[in-house]
Amino acid sequence: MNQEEIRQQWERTIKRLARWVNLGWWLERWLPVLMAVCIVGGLTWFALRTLARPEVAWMNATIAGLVVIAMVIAWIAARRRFESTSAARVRLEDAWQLRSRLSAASEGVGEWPSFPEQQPALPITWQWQRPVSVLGFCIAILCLGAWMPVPARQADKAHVIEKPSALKQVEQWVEELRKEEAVNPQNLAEVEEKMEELLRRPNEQWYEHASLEAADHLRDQTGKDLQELGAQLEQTQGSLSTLAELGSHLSEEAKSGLSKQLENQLKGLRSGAMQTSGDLAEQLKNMEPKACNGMSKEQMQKLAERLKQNAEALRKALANAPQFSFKECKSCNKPGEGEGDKPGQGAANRGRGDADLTVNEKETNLNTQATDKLASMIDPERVTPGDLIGLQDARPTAKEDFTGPQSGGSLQSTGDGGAAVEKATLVPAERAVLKRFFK
Amino acid sequence: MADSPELPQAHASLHQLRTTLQSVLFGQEHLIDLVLTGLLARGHLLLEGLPGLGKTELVKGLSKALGLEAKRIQFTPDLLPGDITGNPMLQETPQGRRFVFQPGPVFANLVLADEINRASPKTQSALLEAMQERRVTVMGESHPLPEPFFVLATQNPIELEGTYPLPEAQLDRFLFKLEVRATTAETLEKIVLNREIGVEPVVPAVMNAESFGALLQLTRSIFMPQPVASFIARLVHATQPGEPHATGVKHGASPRAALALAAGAKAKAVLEGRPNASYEDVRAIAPAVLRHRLILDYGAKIEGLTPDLVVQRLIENIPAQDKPLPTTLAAAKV
Repeated sequence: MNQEEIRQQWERTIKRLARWVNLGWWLERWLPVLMAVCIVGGLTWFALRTLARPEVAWMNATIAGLVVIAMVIAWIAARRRFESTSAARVRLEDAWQLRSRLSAASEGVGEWPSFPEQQPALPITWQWQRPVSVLGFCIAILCLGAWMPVPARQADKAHVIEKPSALKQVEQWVEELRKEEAVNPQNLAEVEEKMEELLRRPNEQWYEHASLEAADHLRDQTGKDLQELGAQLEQTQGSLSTLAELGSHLSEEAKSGLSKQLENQLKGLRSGAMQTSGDLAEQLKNMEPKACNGMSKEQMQKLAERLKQNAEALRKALANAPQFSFKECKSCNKPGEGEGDKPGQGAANRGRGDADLTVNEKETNLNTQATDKLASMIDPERVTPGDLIGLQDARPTAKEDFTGPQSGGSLQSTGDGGAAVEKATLVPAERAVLKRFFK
Repeated sequence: MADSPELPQAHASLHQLRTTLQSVLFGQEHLIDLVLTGLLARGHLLLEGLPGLGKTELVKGLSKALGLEAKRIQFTPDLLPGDITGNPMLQETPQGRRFVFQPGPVFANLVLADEINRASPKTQSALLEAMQERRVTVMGESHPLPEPFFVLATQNPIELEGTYPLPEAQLDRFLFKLEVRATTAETLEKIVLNREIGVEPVVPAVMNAESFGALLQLTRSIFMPQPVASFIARLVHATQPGEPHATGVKHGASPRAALALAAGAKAKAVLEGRPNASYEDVRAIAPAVLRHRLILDYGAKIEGLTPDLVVQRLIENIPAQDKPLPTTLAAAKV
């Protein structure tokens, strides 16, 4: 190995030593700044979590940015204390007992000493306790700021109060129907106005019993109206399709019956709480059932197709509320129109449900003994006079052992003005309590 | 130049000289090294030790090995300055009766001033002046001393009565103060086997005055790296009262001490055949250079502090590199 190679080897070692020392100086300057950044970052994070919902990515980016800035500042501050190669050379030659040969050789006096085959360790040792403890402290304080539980009361304040689910559902329907243009916008605006009226109340009152009941009622009413509209659209579409398909084959009597049915359906569509939108509504409004006779098959099919599309749009909008499915629309069925072959059972909210009387060996079972509870959730324990809690069809039972009028007894005390007519009697337990109180 | 081919040759000569002296003075290798270092640094040496430890033998052996003229002066309280420097004697000359200067024993290359502290201060100062000026002035006439000129003074540490301790200012003129310590049993055995009372050992001349002069010249040309000079300066400055590691010091070392350290470090480098002085050289000679230059206060003396302890403390605490390390790093012993 020639002198030049030896020199390069020594200078590499000297530079390595200088770099380590400089890293130490940089750490010395950086650690206090890092600690300050982490304390401020942790406290800020905690404060933001207490007051609002912080953006985690934003916080991470801010803290990382501050740490990087701290690194740069520390480097600038530490630079003036950085160890030069000549200083590192002195440190190295003193520690390795090189008898100042490196300093002399660098000045051109004497030869570079031969580089040891087994290179000794650099004459510095790291004191890891301080950097590790500072880094641990920083991580701990950031973790505390990020994950320390926030007091529940303050956390609640930070949350946004969401609308009741019923209103959200109605809102979704309105949005969907407006997009599909399936319902008259005026009807939708009315619904929205009602919703706004409910939401105008303070947020804290949204979940009160009365508000929830009102929201549920709005949802039920709107859902029911839409359900009825959908069912009527489907029925009208069915009638129109039948008329288009079989119009030429039907007898005059059947055709007349079908026209009458169509007339009823159109009337229902015009008088319903919800109406179709746009030119379809206009067309249905001006349409006379008798005019159908003048319509071609294609025209009727086209109209039926439009009605079907409208019904589909309604079905799609109500998809998140299975209770308002068109098939479940019991109120939409007229007697004899429901599914199955049994007579209607009637109910408090949809009439008597009479079935056509037939002449059979067995009498028609009208199931009149069955009671039907009210659909409304009236607490039977808190009913007030006048509340209807149930209906029962029953044959009056005549009292056969009539014995004639009987005396009704006599009053023990007729009572004077202001006198107590009912004397309270205490049970033994109450009496014991009173006795203990006055003792 | 320092890295000239003369250096290996000088190293070989000095090795031979050292071996020769070790054959005269058994078991005093360290003392011999320091004496040779002092001589190469052109300094005067003060040897302190009990009688019979070989101080005179060392000087005699040294003079023979170096081929230099050596003289011995036994200092006594009645010794006069003229007994050292020489006196003008009235003599008959061709020009008539005249005072002719008769050189004293100080006119030699190597002067052994035995028990220097027994002479009066006036006599001591005459010698110290000769040491400093390297010439003697008698009746207004200067007489240069021969080159090279070295004084090896001895003093007995136990005889306090009837002695005149050297003043601190005069002690400063000595480059080194060396302590001659008692020998070990093994060394004594060697002495008994190899030496006899009244018979002087035969010491071959290893070099002559001229070659020794060349060695002195070579020593002066040894390279002193700036970091080593800085180390010397910080070490000497650290001896000043008020410095953190100089507690108990009443008066610190003078700039002459710094020069002595530099010259001594160069001499040590020559002795080891190196073209440059080093921190290790400075540390090796620091006790010899500084111990007689540090004046301790009474409190420190009462507490048992000695100049050697102070020097040791300084060597341990003054690093070669004065730039501190960050707290995340510690200097490791390699």
